[in-house]
Amino acid sequence: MRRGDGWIPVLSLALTAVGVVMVYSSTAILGITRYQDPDHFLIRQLERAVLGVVAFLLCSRVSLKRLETLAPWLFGIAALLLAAVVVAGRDANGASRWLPLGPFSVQPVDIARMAAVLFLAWWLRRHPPAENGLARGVLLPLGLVATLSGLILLQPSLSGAALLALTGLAMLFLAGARISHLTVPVAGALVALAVALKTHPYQMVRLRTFIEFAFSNSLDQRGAGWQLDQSLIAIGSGGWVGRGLGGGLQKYLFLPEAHTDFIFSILAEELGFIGASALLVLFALLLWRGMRTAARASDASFALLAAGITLQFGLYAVFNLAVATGLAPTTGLPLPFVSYGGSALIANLGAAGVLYRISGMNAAGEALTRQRWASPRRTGKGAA
Amino acid sequence: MAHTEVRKSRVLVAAAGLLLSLLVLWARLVWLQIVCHPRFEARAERNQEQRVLLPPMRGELLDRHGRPLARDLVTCAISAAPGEMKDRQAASLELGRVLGRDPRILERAFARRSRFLWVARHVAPELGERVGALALPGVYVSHEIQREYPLGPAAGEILGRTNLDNCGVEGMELQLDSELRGRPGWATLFRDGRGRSHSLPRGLKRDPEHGADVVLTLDADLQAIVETHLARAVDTLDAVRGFAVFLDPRTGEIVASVDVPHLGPGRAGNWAFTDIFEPGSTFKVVVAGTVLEEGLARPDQVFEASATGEAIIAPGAHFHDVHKGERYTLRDAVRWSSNIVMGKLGLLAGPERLYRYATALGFGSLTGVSYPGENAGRLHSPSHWSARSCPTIAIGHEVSVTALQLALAYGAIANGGVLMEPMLVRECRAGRDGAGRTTAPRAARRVFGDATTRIMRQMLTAVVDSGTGRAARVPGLAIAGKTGTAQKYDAAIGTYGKGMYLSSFVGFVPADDPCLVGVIVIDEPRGKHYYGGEVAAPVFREVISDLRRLPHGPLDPGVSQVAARPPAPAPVTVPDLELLPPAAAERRLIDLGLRVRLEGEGERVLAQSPAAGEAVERGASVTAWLAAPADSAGARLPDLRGLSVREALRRLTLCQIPAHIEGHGVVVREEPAPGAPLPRKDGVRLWCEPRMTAPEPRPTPGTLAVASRPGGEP
Repeated sequence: MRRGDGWIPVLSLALTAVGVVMVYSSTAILGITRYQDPDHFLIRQLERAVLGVVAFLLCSRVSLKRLETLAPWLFGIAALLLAAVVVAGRDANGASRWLPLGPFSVQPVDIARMAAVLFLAWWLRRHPPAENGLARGVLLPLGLVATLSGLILLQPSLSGAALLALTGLAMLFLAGARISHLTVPVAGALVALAVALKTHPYQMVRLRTFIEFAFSNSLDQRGAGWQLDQSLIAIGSGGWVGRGLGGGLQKYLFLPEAHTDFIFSILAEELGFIGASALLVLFALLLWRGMRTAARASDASFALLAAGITLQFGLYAVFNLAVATGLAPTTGLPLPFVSYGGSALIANLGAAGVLYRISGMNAAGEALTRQRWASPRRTGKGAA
Repeated sequence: MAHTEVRKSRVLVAAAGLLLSLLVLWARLVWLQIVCHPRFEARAERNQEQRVLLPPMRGELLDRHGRPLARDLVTCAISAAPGEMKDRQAASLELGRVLGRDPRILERAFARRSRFLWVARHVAPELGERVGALALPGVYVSHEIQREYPLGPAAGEILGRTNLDNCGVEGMELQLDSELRGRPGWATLFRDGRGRSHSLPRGLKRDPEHGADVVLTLDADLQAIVETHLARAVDTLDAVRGFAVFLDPRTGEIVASVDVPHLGPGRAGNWAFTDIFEPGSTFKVVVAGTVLEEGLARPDQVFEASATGEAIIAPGAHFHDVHKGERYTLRDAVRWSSNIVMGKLGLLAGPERLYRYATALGFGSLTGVSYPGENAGRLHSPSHWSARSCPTIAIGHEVSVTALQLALAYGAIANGGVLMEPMLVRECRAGRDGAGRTTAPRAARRVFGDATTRIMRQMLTAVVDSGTGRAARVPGLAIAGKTGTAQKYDAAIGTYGKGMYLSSFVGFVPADDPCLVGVIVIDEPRGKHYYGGEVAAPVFREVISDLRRLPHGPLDPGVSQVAARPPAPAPVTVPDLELLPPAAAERRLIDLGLRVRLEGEGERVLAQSPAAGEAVERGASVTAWLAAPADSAGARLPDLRGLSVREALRRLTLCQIPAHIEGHGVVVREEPAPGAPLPRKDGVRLWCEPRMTAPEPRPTPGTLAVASRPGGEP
């Protein structure tokens, strides 16, 4: 196998390591209260990190061509899993997002979003939106993605559905769709969003809380605003250098979901502004390397796949951080690589493996070009 | 395969969008973590109640011998949250076994209230530990600090009390609160989102500084003894209340202060310091001391009283004597507490001197005792006095005092004339390092000379030996004292109420070298007995006799010595031999078992020593001076003109002639005229005017003593 962009494994593993440490710091108390074991969450996260590294290695070796051929099948399986979770999912916090699979619980949304990205990359290369008109070129692929989004919405997970739709839209944009064509699905998405808010009361409450906060800077500190309020206290009390790793106080059951959706708040509290900035830099670097991979990909399909994966990382990270810092309404989005959660971590590391593979193809292409310049005798092996 | 170009510009747009979003988030972090940091920091502290106060142990109050009077007792409180229990029945069985309670009752209580209930409070720490060792879920053991007073209510009023927060709110607990309280420490225990407390091993912590122990001047034994007897007296007499204060006259240390009955919090008070009353006869020592110190009267000088027991000695001053007598010497006036004579002495002293001595003895001003709510009493200055004020104040009315002021004034008589400042705190043992500070006794001022106080002590000894205070007599111990019975001013009817009395006794012991002064006050004894001598003096006697039995007590100057001595014969009161023929005087003394020593020659006894009424041991000798024969035969009235009043009185007294004096200064006229036969019955009237010439030299005390009591004192 050719060597790809070394930054990608380094950055994704660095983020995973930060995640393991922060999960431990934020769950030791929760582990004691729930399971009488401070290491309960740490051990699980470590297991999943190992599984994630295995996924990374597997995905970075799998043939991209074969992966492309699998795309429609994966898409279908993802749709089925999502349907299954709607029917037989396990409840957690008022939403059924988990599907018990043997000893593991899987969040099909993580499989679905990666499958959707893969499927779109495969589809859009075959049916470039710019050449196929509005209906066939734009609405059809979006409609297929919207089917998955709709199934996710049924869980209900508005944010997951919205981010998937946003990814699809961005990939169409990258695939060269006309801007005028894109306004139609955007308008449709807004209508869908309005309907979804109407039918999901708890999302509406969160939105109203956010709007109140955004316009009057006041929070209902006991009710819907509690979580955000505690998150802001955690981040704000961190200061320049924070309370020191493990020294945070907000994780003592003040901040619900401190190890999943609000893990950044704990990080900012314990490591301070410097630590939080470092995390942002890690993400920025990863996004930069991902987009660079997309820009340099030899094949449009690979480029779209790389961009789609990077968009998944980027959009999840941006929205998670926006929620934690009070810039977006509170939703349940995990921070990629960092938050506690098995299927998300494994899916992200697998996707990072694919990204690494694509960057390797780039490197291979570049190397080929260079070698052609240097010695015309040698021929590249070409894309696998 | 259709050819699709992914335009780099569009990738750039997407990448820029993501990175710009991260930039916005970074700006938000600057705002939250740098700009708003102090606000969030404060909110986090409030949120988590991060600093938990660690209460300090309150310092102990100790008595003068180091025995505890008030201390903190750590107890355990056991509470339960039955909702958290796994097995209520098992938990109640276990708890019932350890605490000795009926498990079924416990279980029923657990069933009724699921969130929280007290199982037991103020439990011994060992029991609390055993309950804690059971580690039952839903059963909590917490520590409680309880203030304990080993003497119970006996010292409750002087020591005061603390409130639920262990802060002093009354008495010495309040006065010494800043010393006893200590400083709380804190720890970074904090509360989680569900209200449970956690401690951080690395958490910041400051240990509490425990309060300092304070050694008081109180004596736990004496306090208990006084309380017992005072409470019994108040009970049997059906009195409203009673209070007493005892102090050491040499240092001013207050050794006991008792109030009975023990009223509830808020209504109780240490009345000996805070309540004022009209003292009545106990105040007479002020005027007696004044005239003696100023040389206005001699102890054996005779003063007219009234055989009917009634006299008007000043406009509006209509006085009564309980012990009626036509005339009294000064000694006897004190002994029998003659209002009439004392009122006259008040007039003799005059307002200015009386006021000067009363204030010098501390009346009308704060004693400076370190106790909250001390009262200064009430003593108006002479400019506000009326014509009858002087005699009235002399017998202890129109003046209000506290028991403490009275005790200190008697202390000055007991210790040789120095008014001490009262002391309640001996030593403050600051914290663990032991750098304490001790308090030294302080004298306020000298009020009387040594000679005056010696005479006063004799007079007061006579009061207990054979006067109104006989009920305070303890065999084998010389006790000095004075009784007092004051009619209470009734504000409701605006005059002195009939049948409402405040009876008191002030005494010190031993009379020759006093180490203890006590004031006993019984307020409104109901029933037949209400005189201080009948009501308050017995309490003093019981206290002293109990105290004597106490090993190592203040009255224990070698118990063996006292025990080895043969039983002391009953004291004999020396009879009045004046003007008796020598043979009769001799017979009288021999009848009483006294020996006689006659000095000089004459037909009548002129003077005697010891004085009449003094208590002496059986077998003591009494010296009688006989008048010169010339005197008794054809004595003529001497020419007193030009002499000072004092000298004139001295000469008249030698001749046993009563005098009536008008004005002051130098004698200008006498009636009958000089040279007339001695007017033994009617006396001499002397008119005086302020002295115009240089004063004649005052007779030395020696000559005075010879004149009044030939032979001096032993």
